[in-house]
Amino acid sequence: MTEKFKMLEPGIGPPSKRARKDSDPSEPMEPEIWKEFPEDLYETLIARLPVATFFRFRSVCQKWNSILTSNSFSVQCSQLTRPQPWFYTGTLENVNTGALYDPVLKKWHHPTAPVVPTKTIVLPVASAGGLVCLIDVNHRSFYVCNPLTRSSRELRARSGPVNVWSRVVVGMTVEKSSTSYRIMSVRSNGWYEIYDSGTDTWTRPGGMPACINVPLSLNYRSQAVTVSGCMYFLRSDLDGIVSYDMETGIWKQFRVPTPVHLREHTLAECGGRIMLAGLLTKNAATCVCIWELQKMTLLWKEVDRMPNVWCLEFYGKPIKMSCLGNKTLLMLSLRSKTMNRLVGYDMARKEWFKVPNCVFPHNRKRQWVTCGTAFHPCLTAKA
Amino acid sequence: MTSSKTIVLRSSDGATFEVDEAVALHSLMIKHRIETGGADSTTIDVPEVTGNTLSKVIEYCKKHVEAPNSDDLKSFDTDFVKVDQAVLCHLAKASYYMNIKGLLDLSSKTIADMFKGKTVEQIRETFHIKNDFTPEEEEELRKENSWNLFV
Repeated sequence: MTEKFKMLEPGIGPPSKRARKDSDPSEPMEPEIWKEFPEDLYETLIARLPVATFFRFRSVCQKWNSILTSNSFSVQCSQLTRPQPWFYTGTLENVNTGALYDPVLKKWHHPTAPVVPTKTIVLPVASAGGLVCLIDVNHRSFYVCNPLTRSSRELRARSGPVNVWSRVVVGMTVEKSSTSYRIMSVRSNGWYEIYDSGTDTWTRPGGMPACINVPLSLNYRSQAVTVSGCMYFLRSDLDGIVSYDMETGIWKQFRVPTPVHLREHTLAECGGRIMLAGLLTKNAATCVCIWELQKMTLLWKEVDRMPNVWCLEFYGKPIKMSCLGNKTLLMLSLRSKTMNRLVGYDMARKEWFKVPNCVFPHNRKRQWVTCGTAFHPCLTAKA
Repeated sequence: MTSSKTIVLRSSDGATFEVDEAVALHSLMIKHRIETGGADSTTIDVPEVTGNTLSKVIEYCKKHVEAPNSDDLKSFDTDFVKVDQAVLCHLAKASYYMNIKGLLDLSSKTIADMFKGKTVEQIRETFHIKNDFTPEEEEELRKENSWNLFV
């Protein structure tokens, strides 16, 4: 798929393609020099390899293979920042195996084993610390897994009745100091529960405080975002954002007027900033726009738009949009009756990028990506 | 009080380098030596590092201590590791020994970039590593990786 196009309108620049700075991969490494390399430093090097390469190098020798499970390696990995998240997506054909997108190598990866050992269909709803949280379509069971290593766990069942038709929004955080995580599930009737992996229990602090109007009209296509241990999600009936601080247990509600003519919108997060992505249709032209929440005024401010040339493809067609990932990088699926485009936006660099179609390598058949979440690839995260 | 204090660093081959204390402290190993060595520790021996490498390490520390917020720091770092493999190897070892996190990160990342495209056999050759897997174990690993992200 070509990524070159002409600038049609002054003032709207073409998205720049970020060049990868790579040392020459074919440069031979002279054994005479490297045989002196101290063994202690192997972990340091390996922790800095791209995720894909690590799995290949497990077979070098027993020591390198055991690095994956060593504590010191875990510590090294957690100290390194991997700024670019990957995307875990579910496709129509292979719902439970998922397809992973690596935006650095611009490659889809197709695991053949299911992400969690279950026959029911599971959908990704949240992620934190290299782990992805999935729920089954009946909203009964929760699972947590590391999409890279397939370490997974079915969370202990919640007590009490579960209304399968009730929409639910899920948030997830990890404790900085430990490896435990918390999952927060909120239903439209205002009931919420919190799972703590350290104690392997769900707690029900009860109903919402009076300041939050219930029932909540939850926007099912919009995922929650978590910033500094605080979960934010949209409510569509009162045009606003609801937040829950996982540390203090405090709920807040903010009225934030939705931009005019906006639909199919979804929350996103980048470096602590809360963003919004959505479709704006005027006459027959549809465009994807990006807003940033101004915390002082509680207003959305438009900060970017999809390049005009890319929008032309959708001219005059009814478009639906779903969000397949909303942390630092945004992945959006734009669909009309006859076509489906996957588009990415780097919220940090303000760059749009095209995502290649998800194609199954064996039969070259295109897969339809239906849902997804962004996650930070971490080899050592355990469910 | 200690603003213009200098420290002398002595390499394995006897070369000496006089540096500002602030620059020397960028190495946590030297910092520890100074803090535990008493008032007379103005000359520190660095026997694991040769003069050539030590001079480069000092160049790195100087830049990062004297101008940590400068705009060209990134390009300085990029150019700093555009060296031949032997120098890069020595820089990584020196930064590990002298406990200079930034330089260790920089050199390790550069080395990792060099070998990420190599095959398993090439890695073994490069680092003189013996394959200690049995054929059955290798097969097992291949199977594990067969859900194979990494075609």
